[in-house]
Order: sequence, then structure tokens, then C-alpha cells
Amino acid sequence: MPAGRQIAAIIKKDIIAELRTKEMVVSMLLFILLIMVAFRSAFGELGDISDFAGGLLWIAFLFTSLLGLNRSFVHEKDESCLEGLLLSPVDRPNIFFGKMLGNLIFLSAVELVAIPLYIALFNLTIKGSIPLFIAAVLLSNIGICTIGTLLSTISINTKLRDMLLPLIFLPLSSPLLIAAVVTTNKIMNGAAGQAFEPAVGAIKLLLAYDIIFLLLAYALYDFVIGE
Amino acid sequence: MKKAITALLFAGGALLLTGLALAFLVAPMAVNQKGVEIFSQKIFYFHVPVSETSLLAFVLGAVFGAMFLVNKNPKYDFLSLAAVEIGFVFGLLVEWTGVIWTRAEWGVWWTWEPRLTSYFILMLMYAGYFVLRSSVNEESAKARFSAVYSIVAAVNAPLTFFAIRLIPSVHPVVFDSSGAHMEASMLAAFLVSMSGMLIFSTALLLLRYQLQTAREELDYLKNEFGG
Amino acid sequence: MGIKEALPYVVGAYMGIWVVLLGYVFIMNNRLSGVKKELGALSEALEKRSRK
Repeated sequence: MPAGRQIAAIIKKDIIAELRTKEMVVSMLLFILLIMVAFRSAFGELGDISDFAGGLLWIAFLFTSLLGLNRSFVHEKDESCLEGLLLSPVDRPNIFFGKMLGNLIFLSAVELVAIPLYIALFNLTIKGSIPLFIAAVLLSNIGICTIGTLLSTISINTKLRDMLLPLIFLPLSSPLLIAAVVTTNKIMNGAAGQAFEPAVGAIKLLLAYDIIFLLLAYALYDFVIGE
Repeated sequence: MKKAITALLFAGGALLLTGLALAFLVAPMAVNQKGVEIFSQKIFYFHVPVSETSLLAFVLGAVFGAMFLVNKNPKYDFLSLAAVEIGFVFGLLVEWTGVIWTRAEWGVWWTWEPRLTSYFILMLMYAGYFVLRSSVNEESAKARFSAVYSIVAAVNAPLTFFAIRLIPSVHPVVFDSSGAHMEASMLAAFLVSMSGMLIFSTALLLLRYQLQTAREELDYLKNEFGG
Repeated sequence: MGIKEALPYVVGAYMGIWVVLLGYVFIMNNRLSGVKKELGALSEALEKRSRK
């Protein structure tokens, strides 16, 4: 079976399973809404949070992505699906790409609902270019899912299981978080010219992060998924 | 082995003491742009070598990790662990001296100075390494996961340093410790301290490696004895 | 900041480095000799048992 078909099969399997239960997407969305309530109570006095709205958004997304990343492997492990997957004639790196793209689809789907909600709830506007905003979010999502899929495969095979993931995922994704915050803040505030410079650097960093870790995960995945 | 370690420890220690003497007795007092002498700059004669050594140790940890993945020789796993542990100990010293310098010069215990912040994240990243190690029982999985993690973390380190620079920083550069303005005697003190630190840390690496090997041997014998 | 004000900080920084470095050597060395001792005892016991 060609690589593309293998990857597509894994994604399809995850989507069908998710559509049946809807547990992952629903819990991620509820989690984001709860974080927004927390933001409201923390920053309510300020009234206008637009100066750092992009930063808050990524706090919500990063922690939410943890839920999804854990879920995607806990459930494979508990139902012994991982062994089945390993026994099937699917190449190991394709398992990675399949799981990673599945996570990416779920995270992006949740964000697709959450971002408009966030903008409406806090009276925000995206003053800069919207296509650029979407591109930045997507680039960050790719990074989150790449490093997240690699690390959740590791954490699920340890004694701590899903407890370990935040400990290793959050510090390793910090360049991603910083770059994503800088970019979205600048775009949402409509920065231009000199003030937009950091965002250009941040987008380059996001791109570099994605490429580097996709290659690294591709090379190393064989070692984490089992002998 | 034991003799070599002792010799390296003493050679490194002697060089470090020489560096100390050069820094305090020979090197001139550093002066800032306003012409005011800054005595606290003396901290940098050890702060910089310690930080370079720690970064080098992390890189070495990743290199040994990669060698383990290629060869599957447990020796490299022990070396990787030893290197990461030494990088971590030296990293703590970087934070310690950095924080003290900040307090002496800026009057606060902590500022989110880019390099100190990067190191802070780096420490959190490598703290995860030890948690990861302790939460895997099976030897081969432990070594594989640690090797992968040490590589991913080392690749992440420079990205973190880049990312931190994107955040606008409050504090200006007080003086540059690496530029052309450095006098020959200052440079000499740096270089002597640096070489002392490298030799000393090599001894630490070998010592830690020896301990790990002995421990594994003990575990093996205990199994023999029990079984 | 002059010598007088900065001195405690500089001394503190250097003390910290030396204490940690020497402490690390000391602890590792201690652990190593502990493990070595145990190793010796164990291999002796193993030998005795195999001779029986």
C-alpha cells in the first residue's frame, strides 16, 4: 500500500472513531470555554484585553491540545489498538504522520469554532490580515501536533502515562508558544512596518520549527513506538 | 580510570583557581558607558564558562543519545545520561550566578532577561528528562526514550534562544563581555577559566559514567544472585 | 556598583559554584564507593555459592 493510502487510512479510522463518540472534540471545546470564563474573571476589570488577546488565545489552545494529544494515544493503548497498528503492514513513520494529521484536524476543527467565539465574547477584531492570521495559526498547529504526537507516544509508554506529557510537552513547545503569541498579537493589533518586524521573525521561526521537528520526528519515531 | 579522573579533577581545579586569580588580581576592572567601574562583572569570569560548558554538555548528551540509537550499546546511554546530568548541574549554576549578578547590578532577584529566561526554560526541559527516565522501568525503552528526548531537547535549545529574542526586552546591554573591547588580560582570565571548566567537567562526566556502569553491574549481579 | 556593595554578591556567586562543583564530586564519589563495596560483597557471595 502506498504511503499516502496508509496515512489516509489511519486518519480515516481516527475520524470515524471520533464521529461515533465525539468525546475528544466536545471535551476540548468545553475546556476552551471554561478557560475563557477564567480569563474573563482574571482580566474582567481591564475591560479591553486586545493588547494581549493573541497571547491568551495560545494559552487556551496549548492546554487544550494536551487533552487531545493524550486522548489520541490513551485510547489506542487501552484498547490495544497500538499493537494492532504495529502488526499491520503500515510503515512506522506513516503511523506518525497519520496520528499527527489526525490530531491536527481535530485541533484545527476545535479552533475553527473557538476563535470566532473568543472574538465575539471579548469584543475583539483582527485588525491585520486575516489570511496571515490563519496561516500563523495553522503553522503553530502543525508544530504543536508534530512535537505533541512524538512526545505523547513516549509518555503513554511510561508509568506516569498522561501525567508526563505536560511536563515534557510544555517546555519543548515554548519556542512555538512564544512565536505564536508574538505573531497573533501583532496581527490582531494591526501592527505595521517597523512594529511588525518581530512577527516576521516569529513566522520564520514557526516555519523552521515545523520543518525541523517534522524531519526529526520522522527519523526518530521508529525508536519511540516500540521494538 | 580512577587515576585519570583524579588527575583531571586536579588539573581542572588548578586551572580554575588560576583563572580566579587572573580575574581578580590581573584583569582590570570593567567600566560601563558612563565610566563607572563595575565590580560585579567579575562574576562573568565563571558565569560564561559555566554556561558554555552546560550547553556543550547538552549537545554531548544528544550526540551520545544518537550514538545509542545507532549502536544500541548501553555504554552510550550511560554517557548520555551523565552528560545531561552535568549540563543540568551547570545550568543551575548559570541561573545562580545570573540571578546574583542581576541582584547586584539591577537590584532585583529576577528579571526576564532573554538569556536567563532561555536558561530557565532549558532547565524545565531537562527536568522533564529526569522525570521521563524515572518513569520507565524497562531498560531498553528507558534508554531509547531518553536518547530521543535528549536529541529533541538539544535541537529545541537554540530555537528557544531565538524565540526569546522576539519578546521585546526591557533591559539594555550593560556591557558586552565578548566584544573587541575586551582587554588581553581579561580574555586570558576567561580562557583559563574556560579550559579549567572543560577539564573539570570532563572529569565529572567520567565519574558519573563510572557510577552508572557500576550501578548497572550491581543490578545485573543482584539478578544473578536472586535468580 | 562599587567593590564594597558588590563584594557579597561576587563572593556568594563564586562560593555557590565551588560548593556545587565540589559537592557533586563528593556525592558521586561517595555513591561510587558505596556501589563498589556492594559489588565486591555480592561477587564474593556469588563465588562462594558457586563453589558449594
